[in-house]
Amino acid sequence: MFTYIVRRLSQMLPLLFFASVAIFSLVALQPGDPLDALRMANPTMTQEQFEALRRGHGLDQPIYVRYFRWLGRAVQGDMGRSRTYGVPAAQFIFQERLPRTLILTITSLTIALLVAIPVGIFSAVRQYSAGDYAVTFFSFVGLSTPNFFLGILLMYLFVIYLPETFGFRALPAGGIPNLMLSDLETGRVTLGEYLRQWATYLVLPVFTLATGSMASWTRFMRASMLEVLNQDYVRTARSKGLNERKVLYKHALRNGLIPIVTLVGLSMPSLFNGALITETIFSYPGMGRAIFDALVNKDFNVAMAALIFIAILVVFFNLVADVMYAVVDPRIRYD
Amino acid sequence: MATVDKAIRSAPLHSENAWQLAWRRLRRHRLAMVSLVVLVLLILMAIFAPYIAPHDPTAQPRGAGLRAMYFQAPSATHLLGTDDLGRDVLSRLIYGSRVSLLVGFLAAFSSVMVGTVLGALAGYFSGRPLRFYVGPLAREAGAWRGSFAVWRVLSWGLYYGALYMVATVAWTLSEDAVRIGVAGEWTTNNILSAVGLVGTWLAVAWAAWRGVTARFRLDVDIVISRLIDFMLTLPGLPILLVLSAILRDPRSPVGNWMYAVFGNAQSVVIIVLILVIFGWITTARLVRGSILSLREREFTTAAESLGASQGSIVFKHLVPNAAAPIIVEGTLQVGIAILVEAALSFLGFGIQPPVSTWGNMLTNAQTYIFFAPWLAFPPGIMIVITVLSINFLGDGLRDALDPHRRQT
Amino acid sequence: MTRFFRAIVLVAFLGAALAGPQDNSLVVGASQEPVVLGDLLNVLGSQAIASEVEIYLYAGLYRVNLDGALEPDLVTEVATVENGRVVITGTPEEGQRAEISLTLRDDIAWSDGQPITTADVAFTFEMTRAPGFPQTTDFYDRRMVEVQDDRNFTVIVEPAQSSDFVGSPLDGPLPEHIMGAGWDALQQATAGLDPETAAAQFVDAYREFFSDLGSSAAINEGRTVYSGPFMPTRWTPGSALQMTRNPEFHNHPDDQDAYVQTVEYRFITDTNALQFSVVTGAVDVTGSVSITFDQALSPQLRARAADRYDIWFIPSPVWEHLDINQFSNVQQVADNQLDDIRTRQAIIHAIDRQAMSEALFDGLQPVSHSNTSPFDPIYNPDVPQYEYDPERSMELLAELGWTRGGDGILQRTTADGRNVRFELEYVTTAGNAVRERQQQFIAEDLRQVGIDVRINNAPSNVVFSSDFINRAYDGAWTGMFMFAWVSSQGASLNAQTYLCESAPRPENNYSGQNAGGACSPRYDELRNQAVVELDLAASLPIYQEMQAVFAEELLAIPLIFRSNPIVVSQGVVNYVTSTFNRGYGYPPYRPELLGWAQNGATQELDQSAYASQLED
Repeated sequence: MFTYIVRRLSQMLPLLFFASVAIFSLVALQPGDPLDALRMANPTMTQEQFEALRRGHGLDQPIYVRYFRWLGRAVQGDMGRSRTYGVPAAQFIFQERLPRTLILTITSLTIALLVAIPVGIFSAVRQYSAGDYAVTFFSFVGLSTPNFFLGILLMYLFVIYLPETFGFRALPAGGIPNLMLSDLETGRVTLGEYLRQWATYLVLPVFTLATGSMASWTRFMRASMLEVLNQDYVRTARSKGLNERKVLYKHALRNGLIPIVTLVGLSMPSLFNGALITETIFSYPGMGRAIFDALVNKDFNVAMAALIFIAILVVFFNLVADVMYAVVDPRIRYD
Repeated sequence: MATVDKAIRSAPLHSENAWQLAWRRLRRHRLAMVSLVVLVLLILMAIFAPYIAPHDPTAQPRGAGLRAMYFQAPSATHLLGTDDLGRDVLSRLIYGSRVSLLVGFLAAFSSVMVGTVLGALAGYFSGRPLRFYVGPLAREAGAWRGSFAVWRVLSWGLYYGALYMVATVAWTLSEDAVRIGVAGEWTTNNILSAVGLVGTWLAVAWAAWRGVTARFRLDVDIVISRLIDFMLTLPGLPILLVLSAILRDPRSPVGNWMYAVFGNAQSVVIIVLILVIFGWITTARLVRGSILSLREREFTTAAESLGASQGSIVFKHLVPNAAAPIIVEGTLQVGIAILVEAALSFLGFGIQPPVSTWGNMLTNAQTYIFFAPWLAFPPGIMIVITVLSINFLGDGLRDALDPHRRQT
Repeated sequence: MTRFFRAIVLVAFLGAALAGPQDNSLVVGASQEPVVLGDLLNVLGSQAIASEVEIYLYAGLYRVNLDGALEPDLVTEVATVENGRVVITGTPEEGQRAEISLTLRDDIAWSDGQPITTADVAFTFEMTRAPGFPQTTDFYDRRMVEVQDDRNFTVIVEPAQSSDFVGSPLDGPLPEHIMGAGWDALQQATAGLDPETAAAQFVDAYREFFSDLGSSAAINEGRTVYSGPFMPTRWTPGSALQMTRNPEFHNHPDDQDAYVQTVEYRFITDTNALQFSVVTGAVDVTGSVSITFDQALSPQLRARAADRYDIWFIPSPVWEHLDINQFSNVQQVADNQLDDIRTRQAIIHAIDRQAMSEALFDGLQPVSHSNTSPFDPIYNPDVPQYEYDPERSMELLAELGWTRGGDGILQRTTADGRNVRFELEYVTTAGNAVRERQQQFIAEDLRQVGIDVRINNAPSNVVFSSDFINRAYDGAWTGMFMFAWVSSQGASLNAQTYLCESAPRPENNYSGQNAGGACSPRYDELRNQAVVELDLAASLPIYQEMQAVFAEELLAIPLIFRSNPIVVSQGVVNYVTSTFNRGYGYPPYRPELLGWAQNGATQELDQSAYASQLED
């Protein structure tokens, strides 16, 4: 196991190197110039001044020179400044956007798991019952609905239609509450109020985001429980006369959760990735929007900081998922 | 030889009986059968769109009182109402199925094809490194087959080409520093650059010398597995941006060619390309796993001992036996492709108007969700129904094709 | 049924609707968030939403009022030749020199109580002259500032142009006592650098300097001071910006307690979500960067408006048009003869712009015939007009050798014997629903005369990137490009955009705003005459002639002038704007007068004089 982890870790570095080369080239190959925005703001800037600026930023250099320059700074922890926001790129990504995205994605993940696991178990235990069919049907509907269609429907329903028809206070249509963590320290709001406000803003995006993973994890949970329930040892346990509850929770569940653990492990990077479409619909300033905007605005440093960070997470969580798999399933050996 | 093939073909699932069995099982899966019917209807609708659609999907009304013709609620003349330019929503929906289904099936088919080929190669040659490079003067035992001889010569070009690249890149990177150094200013940086340059060139020279007589073998499995790891780290969005920029740029030869060949369909091709770039990975992993276990089976050994070529073993014997998971994966990919097409439209990278797709209809409708909600439902529901049917069918196929799974 | 419905609506929004008047606050909804505030010299870029918020935070030397006229803001009076504060010497031929003498009011102070003096004015100007400063515009190159004492200073403009007298003679001012020390440190740090070779270091240093004073973190720490009626107190990035009254501001209404005390900008980037926020009463008013025109026009928004909010359409100086690629070296341009004026005439004759304006915009976005807004003082109402006339269009096309093919599309044989179809590329910004709708309307009109339009849209950042829009010469886009120009009065007097020399070509390294490469020697000649004529009465006929030339020669195909919708909750007073208010029409005119009628604020300004509402 130990040697396995060491070997995988040693493979990570070259992999990340190639990934960073590829990501850098992709971002750099994009049409347009990172200085376009500056030039548009200064329409009378002469071509000589513009060229001087490009030289100054090293943009006239071939792409590999730029890459190694970037790498040299990046390994020292300097991700550069955001061209759009003027603040350090790392600060913008990690202090401003990442915490917000995590609030959204972790809540969705938790809710999706809290629903998917029990519903999946229920569905498997009562295979071919009406309940199972209903769960199957709805999880497939969940899988088949485009995210933005669902989001817009929910918004229309809970912000306009239901409040107007039944006369209750509408949920906010989008955005995030005007709250900062420091408000708790200064006592501007109580913790209860803080959470309540966040909750009202999070309901719709979280539900939109959770639906997809909820549906797919329910399917996986059901399949893996079915698999386990048909195994010999479960049948043996049952035939020994152990009560059903004990069979289910002691023997079946532990093994049935294995594939879910892997799946959740592999979906960890997407927590940091943000959810571009959900964020767009609900005007939620998260990582998804940050990366998209950085790419289309050619905010090079921000895009690189975020994309490399996510690449590292992908590689890392791939490893974690494999290791976890070995830990929960003693049949698997790595050598 | 013919008899051998026949003997091998009688492996499970590949016989007529196995397919009949699967079909019998599938027929019992009610949801899957309903879905199959729905899908067939949808495909017929797409094919016969011109005969079914009540109106021209792109025709806009002209004349007096235009405003009243826009955003019409559903009525007898326009069963699903009209859109923001007075076009018939039903007709657009029917025509929209063409692009949406085309993107879905084309992308799924291509990803599954690419994934199957790469996965099968990785699985079959795992642990059996291939001759990758044989130097011009290397003594090589065994016969040279025609295609390998060509590859052998090609590989020299690749090998020495790569060495040349390394040497030039090293020179370009250190050129300035070394020039300044030679001029007399030997700072630490300049010295380091010079040392790096000399070191790299020495290494290149050594590799060039070795290359004359060397023989390299390469494990295809390792290459493809690392490629998969690598692909997983790549973000989709910048690839989309760069690809669509390059492929749509009329100034680049690629863009020119794309337009000459595909015309207005080029945005379809771009979307399919994006989907394939990321879609092959799951299939490849799946196929690799199946092939790894299948190649140890008796029928494979039999075929090998009878001297069947590697290509025919992989693609005639092994891949058909791994068909079940591939087919299921294919259905899933169709669903994903249709959803991604919709999402790309939402981000402004979709199929260009006035061609209608469910994705761009839905995107357009969301702008008017408040005052014309009926515009959003037809495309939204069509997407849900299609993807739902495909998923149900895939589920049914999984049950039907899996010999270990019993149905009650 | 409707009454029942309305009653329910009232119940639902009672809570939200009362929040504003209760604590005398105002919530403004915006679909964009400023990047930094206080970057009055546009070092980090120019952003409409930042300029709008800065109306609340900064007072200028002058301001443009609702009628588009100049008013003194921090100075005692607007300088004119008549009051002797403007002295012009020289001749138009050899270049003129204008000396503009101004006096600062003596009751003005920064929000920390420090007086605003000529030191601040001089400091702000000095910044623009610093080595390597990115905002090196011709505007500043022609200026000098001389300070007489604490209150009096002179701006010298040489050579002076007509556009120098329609706005503030200088930007700012910014606070010297806050920024001075940091500025000196910056200058020392960059002292050894050569602006030519180290341009990037300079720009980065300046950007850092301004973002460190105006970013959300800086504002929450209160790092700088303000001269406007409000000052920011809290900025939660991605959520909201709060501003409260600046106690030191010189021009608050007498009973200021009756007026709005805090203004909160809510940032809701998706316009659907923003529109719903308007409906639920989560925002009281909307700014200029807000809900789309289509949304404002929607019957559903209007159905809920009664007794709750007004929807105003303010004519804006934003001009939607089609730039046509006229670089004849591009194959498609030559094939389609886009460089021939008759082709452009055929295109404009084929488009029923009047029907489009009425069908799509209820006539609220009027058809334009040249690039000058009807609200601009130099507007010429009598320019040649190309009416909708598909027959004439087809005649012109036939004259150019086009005949209809079997598929209904025009075809011709070129001089070198190739058979070409009239296939016209049409580019605009994807994701702008209003624009894409117009695009499809126009495409259909063109198809009817036999032009096959190929739509090729991409998100705005992609199409506006310099290697797309500015590369028509290389054929990056080969047909029509629909976008808009915003013209302040200054810009329309300067009229640089459609000069021949502004066409981006390899010779000028693809710089210039004349994206399609339109060129009319007559237009250029008139423009160069007009800009040096400082007496507007004398230059007016030349400017009007220019518009006539523009309209006749179709340097670009004019489509419409946009209207900016704003939603104002009932009870809010003095949230008023107009076409050229504050230069670009951003609301409001005077933030210090914002208030709720129910709290005793007096209505002094009337929006209906400057905007229209939709009749039911």
